[in-house]
This record gives sequence, structure tokens and C-alpha cells, in this order.
Amino acid sequence: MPTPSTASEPKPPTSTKQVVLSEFFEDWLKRTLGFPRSPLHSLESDDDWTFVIKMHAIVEAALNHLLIVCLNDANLATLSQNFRRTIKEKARWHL
Amino acid sequence: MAFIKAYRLLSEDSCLFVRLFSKVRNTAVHDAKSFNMDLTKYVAELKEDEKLEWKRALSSWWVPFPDSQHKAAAQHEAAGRRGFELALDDPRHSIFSSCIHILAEAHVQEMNAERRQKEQNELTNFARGV
Repeated sequence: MPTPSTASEPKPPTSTKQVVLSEFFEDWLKRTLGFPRSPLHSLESDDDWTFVIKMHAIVEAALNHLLIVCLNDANLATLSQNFRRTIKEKARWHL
Repeated sequence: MAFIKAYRLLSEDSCLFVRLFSKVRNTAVHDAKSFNMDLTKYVAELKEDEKLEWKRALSSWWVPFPDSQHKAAAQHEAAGRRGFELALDDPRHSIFSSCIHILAEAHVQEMNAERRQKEQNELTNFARGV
């Protein structure tokens, strides 16, 4: 007979406020920054740990985009991707 | 962040938010004990001076009304002050608003850059007599 799992259930989100984002803005997030789904989804359904990780990734994407637009240099986009790849590879070596 | 500050792409409070939020994220990533992280508890355990800093960071999404003489400006200002006071009550919501504010800044910068490029092209075409 299978024993019940002792793993704790995912914690529910700790915010209950309703937030709305404009369709135009959501479309821009998908088109330009490549977000697979609305950040609202994370606010409404993720536990706090997952929420923090996802929101930080969103901030990083926004900061990168700010710099690319400000410096008006498409090469920065490639540079940013390469930098991330290098970091990932380094991390793999250290494991 | 050095470039962001040098080019003044974000307000001081937004830069503060990025710095403080990065600390939370690093704790979440590197400390296995934080897997059941509770943001409300995290904020409640901060020291008084840290709470003040966090209040500033978590209300970084608020921007002043464009026209300070407008009749709605006072109401907007009051809402901002209330937002500042309540920023720690629902940290998850405040974090979300601060992140979306940074995204919105990126969006505005992009639209401004496109508009400048369009104006430049029109000027060039005009000079060429197109």
C-alpha cells in the first residue's frame, strides 16, 4: 500500500490584491522580451520562492533591454546572450 | 547597474529596489532553508532602518503627477504617501508593482527611441527632397 507523501504542499501566494495589465503592454512583453506568459500568472499562482526567482529574471530582462535601447546597439543583445552562456558554462565546471 | 546609473535610466529608488531585491533573490537561490520563503515574514524580520529602506524601494513604482498644479495632483500625492506607508503590508504586491515599473520604463525608452529614429528619418528624407 503506498504511503502518503510527507512533502509539504506548495504554499499559496501571500498577496490577494487584484492587478490588471493592459493588453498592449502584455503583447509587448511577449513580442519584445519573449515572456512565455503574463507576469500576472506568477503573482496570482506562484509561491513566494518561485515568485522571487521569476520576478528577478523579469527585472534582469528589463535592465538588459533598457541598456540595449539606450545605447542603440544591437550587438549588445548578442553580448548579453553570450555573457549568460559563459556564466552557465562556468557554473557547470564548478559543479 | 553601473551603466543604468551612469545613464540615469532609472530613479534612485528603483536602483535601490534592484539592489535590495537582488539580495532576496540571492538568498532564495543559494540558501536551501529559504525554499519555503515567506515574503511577509522576511519583511517583518527586518530591522527598523532596513524597513525604511525597503519602504522606499517598494514604493519606487510611484511617479509624481506630471502637472503639480493640476487638481488631481494632491490626490495623487496622497495616494503615493499611502502607498509608501503600506508598502510593507503586502510585499509581494509591492515587489510586483516595482518590477512592472522597471519594465514600463524599458517600454517607454523603446518607444522614445523609435520616435527619435522616425523623426531623424523624416528629417533626412526632407533634406534629400524625398
